[in-house]
Amino acid sequence: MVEHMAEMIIPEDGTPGAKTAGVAEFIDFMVANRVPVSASRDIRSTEDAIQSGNQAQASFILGLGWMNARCHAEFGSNFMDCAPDQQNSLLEELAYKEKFKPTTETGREFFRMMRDYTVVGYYTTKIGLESLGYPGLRTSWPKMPGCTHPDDPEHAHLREPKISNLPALRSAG
Amino acid sequence: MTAKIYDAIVVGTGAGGGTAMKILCEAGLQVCAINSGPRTNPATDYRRHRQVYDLKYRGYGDPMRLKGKPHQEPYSVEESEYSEGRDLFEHDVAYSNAPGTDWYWKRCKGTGGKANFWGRSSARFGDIDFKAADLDGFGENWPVDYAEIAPWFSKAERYMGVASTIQNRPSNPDGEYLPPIPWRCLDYIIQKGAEKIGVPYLPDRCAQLTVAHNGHLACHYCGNCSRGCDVGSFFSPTWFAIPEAEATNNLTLLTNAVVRSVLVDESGMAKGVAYVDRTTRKEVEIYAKVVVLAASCVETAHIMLNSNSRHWPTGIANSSGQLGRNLCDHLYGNPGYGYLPQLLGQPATPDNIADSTVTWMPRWQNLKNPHEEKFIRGYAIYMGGGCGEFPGHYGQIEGFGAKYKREIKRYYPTSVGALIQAPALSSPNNYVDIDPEQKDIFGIPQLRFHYQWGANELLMWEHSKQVMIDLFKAMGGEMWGADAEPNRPGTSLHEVGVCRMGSDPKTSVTNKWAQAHDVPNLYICDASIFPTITDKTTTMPIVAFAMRTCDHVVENFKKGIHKRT
Repeated sequence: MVEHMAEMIIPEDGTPGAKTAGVAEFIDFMVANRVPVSASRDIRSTEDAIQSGNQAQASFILGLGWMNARCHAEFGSNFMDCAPDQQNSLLEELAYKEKFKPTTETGREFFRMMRDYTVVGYYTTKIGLESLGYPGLRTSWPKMPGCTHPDDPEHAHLREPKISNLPALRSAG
Repeated sequence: MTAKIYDAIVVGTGAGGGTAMKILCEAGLQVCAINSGPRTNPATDYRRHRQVYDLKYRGYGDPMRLKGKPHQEPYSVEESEYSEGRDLFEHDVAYSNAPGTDWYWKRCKGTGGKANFWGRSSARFGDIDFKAADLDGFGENWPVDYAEIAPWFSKAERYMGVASTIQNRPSNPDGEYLPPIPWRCLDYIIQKGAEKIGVPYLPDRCAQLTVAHNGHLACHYCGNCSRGCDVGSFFSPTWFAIPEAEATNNLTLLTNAVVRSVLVDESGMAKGVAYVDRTTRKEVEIYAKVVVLAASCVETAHIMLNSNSRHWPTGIANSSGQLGRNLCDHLYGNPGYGYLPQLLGQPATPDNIADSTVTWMPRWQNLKNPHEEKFIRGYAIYMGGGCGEFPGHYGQIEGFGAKYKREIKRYYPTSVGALIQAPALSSPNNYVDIDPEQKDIFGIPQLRFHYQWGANELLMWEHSKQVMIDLFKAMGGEMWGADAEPNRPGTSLHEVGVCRMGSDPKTSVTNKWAQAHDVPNLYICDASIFPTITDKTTTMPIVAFAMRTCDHVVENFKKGIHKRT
């Protein structure tokens, strides 16, 4: 279910999605080891870290249960047994402000957390960073290239290119 | 058998202590340098081109990593999963905060100290800083002026290698520079916007080797800087001063030695230091003709306050009562962040490969008239952004799915943010003292902080938020938000003032040579001697003042004021 939702959040399009990038394994690892990625509280001690981690783990597990319960109430089956458009409409209710419904706060909270874990899990893999074209994958540059349009300092005339499905830069090790 | 007596003991091996040991050793003096933690080893302790996916917790770190330590608070920014398990940061020695104080004291105990991981911004102070009291009537001037210090800034710059340009602004004096780091797209856009609202946007003074310098390799732009440079392409004692001092064969370097106090002779002069061996927990004494403290500002004050004797009942060289007082820090915070729509959908650009403050907005307030604004003096802002190591803007975009993924990439080059660097004014309420009750695990009485932001720096903070609103408008950007509160005091690591220098022994701890008024064979080579904090950073000036102080020490040995052993 985590793997499926992660892929719904970051699907394979031109570049691999969350599933190929191993995001579900990452989330399992982080939740099991109680490492929050969306905690806003200050960590001042190991005790704080433990509390914050326990809270993240509990909310995550609670959230998974909430998703299934909601699917049962709305569509009569667990999340994974729902049709793709049903799954999609539930996530939309949790993701978009204008589609929010009352009494779904727990679900929205869970979705935020799930999305944070997914985005962190995806963009901290080589696959995810390549999909962005993260320049730091290359660890040696002869010099810093800098801006290539100094003749247009305000950058008012750039053409928005069609985003290529190929990574812009490849890792040089 | 008599114990060995060194010519000089240097406590601390960071920017100040590293520079001190190098100069004293190169002058032929026998130096014992003492470092509180282990030897830093670039081959194991730095990032070493690892990527975030090479880390077990992808940069979040093992939440249990500091379990059982006396001080368990992780140090954001400096300490990371890349150095996890390397014991470079101080978690054994706890400190206290007085009620209402929330000081964040981040300490690197490995040799080289925080200068292994520093931010490299290296502007010169000017007379607008040294003589600020003349201009606005607050506090006191420094005991030195720009003309006196300028040659030492030049020496420090030539030694360290600083990249920048000549800018002709008296408030921000020019130095001797390597070629600047080229601007990114976002810099050109911000500069145009800043120009419209009358704010300077200029290359920072950045201690990064854009070309090979003094036998050190040019930067290869891996972006690992703040996790340690694997080849020494920016100034750090680990790559510069420590090996240079060792090459003289005049250096004895003690590691894992936590200095407790300065020892005095029967006349109250310094005769050495007492330290606790971190491994055996035994107390050891070593002796020297001259003691140089460079333990990093508040730690220097900590050692001096703990050096109480019948001569110095409130701490060594504290007849002025100013030891530990006048604590000032840079107020840090993000007064505005958002994105530049001009760059939406552009291919990823290598914006962060220098990992540097490529540019900054040096102080522009109160230049013509010191009372032009509601606050006195002025602050600087660093802008950054573009394609970084993580698309931190993901939270600003709604939704999920293929469109969401495309939007994350589309916004990737566009995000920009700010960092204010606002100098606090000194206040009688901001100081450090010794906690009367708490001792650390080595039996050393703990340092206690008393600190609140004052009205002047908070007015700067409010001012900077309005500037960011105006700037985003002027540069055609869209704002996402701003920090609600500034960062905790201590975050900047730029604290100064607790052993301030001055001409009058009644109101200052050291003279203008950073030599204690009361104890002429005790010198200080860190930012604790700076009487005020400015809109500029402290490291390059620490190196410059340490060079000047140590040349003075060497002179005093030559003149026979200090006698060699």
